[in-house]
Amino acid sequence: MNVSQLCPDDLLLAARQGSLNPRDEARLDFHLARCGRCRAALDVGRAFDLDLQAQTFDDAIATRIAAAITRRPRRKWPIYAFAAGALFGGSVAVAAVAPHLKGYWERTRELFESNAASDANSGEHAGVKHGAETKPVTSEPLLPAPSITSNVDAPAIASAELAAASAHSPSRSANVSEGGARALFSEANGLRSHGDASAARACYLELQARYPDSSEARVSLVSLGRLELSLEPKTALAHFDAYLRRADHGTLAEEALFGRASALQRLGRTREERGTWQQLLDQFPSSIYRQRATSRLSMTQ
Amino acid sequence: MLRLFRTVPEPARGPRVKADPLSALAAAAQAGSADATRTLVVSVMPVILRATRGVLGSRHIEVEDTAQDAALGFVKALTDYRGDCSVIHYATRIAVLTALAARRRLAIRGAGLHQELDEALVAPGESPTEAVLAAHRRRILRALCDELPPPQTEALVLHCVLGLSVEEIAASSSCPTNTVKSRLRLAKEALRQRIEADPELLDGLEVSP
Repeated sequence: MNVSQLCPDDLLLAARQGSLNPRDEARLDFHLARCGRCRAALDVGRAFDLDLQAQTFDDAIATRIAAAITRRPRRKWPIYAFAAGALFGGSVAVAAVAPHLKGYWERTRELFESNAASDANSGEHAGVKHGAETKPVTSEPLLPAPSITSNVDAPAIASAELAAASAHSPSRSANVSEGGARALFSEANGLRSHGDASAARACYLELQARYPDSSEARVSLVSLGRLELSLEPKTALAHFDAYLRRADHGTLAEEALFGRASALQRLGRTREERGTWQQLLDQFPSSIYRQRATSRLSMTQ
Repeated sequence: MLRLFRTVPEPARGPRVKADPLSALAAAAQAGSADATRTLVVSVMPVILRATRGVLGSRHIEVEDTAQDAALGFVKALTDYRGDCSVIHYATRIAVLTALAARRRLAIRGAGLHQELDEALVAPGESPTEAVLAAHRRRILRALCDELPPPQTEALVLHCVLGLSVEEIAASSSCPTNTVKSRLRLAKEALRQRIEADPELLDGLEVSP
């Protein structure tokens, strides 16, 4: 039996907690002098004990997460509730499309009649079916295209990237086209939490382009910023700025300021970073990011 | 004689569910009480945050999202909780597994690990050199998490990072104590090799190879 088979794991934990009696301390010292494994484990364990002490605002985070989680069971609606919702949505869609369809049929009929009259007059197309002649009508849009350019803040990024993003998932946009801002936002969050960053990104951009004035689009600026932060800090910064322009005292202003400062840190724009950390501290004196903000402010002096 | 003693099964010391102050709350949450679930989540969030920070880095930008995922996983897994270990250890293990999965996902995505932001913040009574070395040791362990087999990683994080005893790990993961010891031994050996191969740490630790 070698020394490693007798590693006193319980003594190692007691040493980290500072609860060793002198006898056990002597036993542990004797063991550590011979066992590199336990020496390494003890040093690393102590390094984590220093780092993982509870932070000041953990309580606030816990309360927020608990509230978010206990809201989720509302999703477990019975299937007939979804069916009723779908039916209602379908009715609304038909009501919205009906006037356009009416116009379409009227235009088709007029063209048909004018072509028929023209055929009757000239006799040049006597052998051609009317279906072929009415073809140009279908090239006109039946419904007005969604106005991407009406987006106000984020849209320079959103509309420019939407085309590229939709190329990633052409079928997905069809699936959610009737779902509205909330459905898009939920889908994007789901994709993000499952690690599908590119699809989540496409979804957020689509949300911002289609429903620029919705609260979901506003919140998605922060989500998208956090998603981009690691790879494209410049783009992330634009998203955080867009959120802060729209809602500098919004619910997520604290998160947006934190994201903005992190993005500026990655871009090496220290002066602006310091300004943002200071703004975060001024605006949210009890922020959960206070420790990080003060630390960065002192490090970048 | 020593060999004889070693063959005697060790008394089970892990499960202390009767003394678990959260067991009544867990039972109420299992019965469907939303208030109990909310209180329970608030009660276990400190250990969930601690576990998530341990695996990802205490200032990693994904910590809060991952902690929320872990809390959600804990609520879902409550239906399977049978009191084999304490509620806190049950939540800790779920948080560790969730954070390790998040870490793997971030690595696959090629994002996130470089933003670990495990800065060498100097604690009271600690020298700047010690702080730097401590941060370096933490990074070494986390890097090891990406290379070791998952059961060894889990045992290493629960023991070395979060300070669970072998018996507590065995109870929370439904494994024999000796299996956990074996996993820990292999993981600690890998950790020792990694530290001893690092000249910067070797100087700081004054470890004799």
